[in-house]
Amino acid sequence: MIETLGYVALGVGVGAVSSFLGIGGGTILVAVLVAVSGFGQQEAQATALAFMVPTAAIGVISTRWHGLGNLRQSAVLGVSGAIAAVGGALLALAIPSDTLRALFAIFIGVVGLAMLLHPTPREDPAEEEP
Amino acid sequence: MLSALIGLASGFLAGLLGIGGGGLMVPLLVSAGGLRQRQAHAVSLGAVVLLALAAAITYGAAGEVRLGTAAALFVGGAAGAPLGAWLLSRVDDRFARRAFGVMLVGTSAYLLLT
Repeated sequence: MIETLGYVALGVGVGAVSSFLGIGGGTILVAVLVAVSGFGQQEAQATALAFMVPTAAIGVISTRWHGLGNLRQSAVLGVSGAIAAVGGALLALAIPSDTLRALFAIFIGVVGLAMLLHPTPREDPAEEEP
Repeated sequence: MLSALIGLASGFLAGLLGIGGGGLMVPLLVSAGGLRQRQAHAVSLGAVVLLALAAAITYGAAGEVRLGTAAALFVGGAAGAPLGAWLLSRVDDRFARRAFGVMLVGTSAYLLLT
């Protein structure tokens, strides 16, 4: 029970950071599940992906509500992405957990450095319109 | 055609590393696809539903998904997302990015060294 409540609390934090920075919650979630909860790398990634499906679906509904998005374009990206995602997942399942953990750590390290070296986000062009 | 290529690259990374894919998709949609920032976020979100579903099913077939944990996280996430959007309107964006960058680099170092 306490463990479940802990994950609910973690979900609040991940959901908040996700919409705060406009970045997928998966990056933080995978890191916390591995480093704090002791999940295997593949298990953490699988659980983070399962979390993301309904969370992103809620996001889609709310962005459509505000008149943003293009479902046809999402479908083109999503279908090609889904095919490649299966390939990526199969590769992840085939390599040792430690190797995958190192790949993941390098990836978030690069993303983190990029954020530190380019601290000012690109301006939203929509804001510049009259 | 360009959308399909961006989808392939983002989907592969999402499946391999268990991330949404938006971190790669959004910048590519803006720089190569010519979408406006907010539109790119919204379009990316729709694609993430499909590619995360495909990747989650693949991991699930291998018995790696902990559904109870994912459900508990989602309960919190549904409440946290609006909170983050509210916070975003309150603080300095540059500070937020720096803090996040430090956190990611620190976590990366921790995972690599332990």
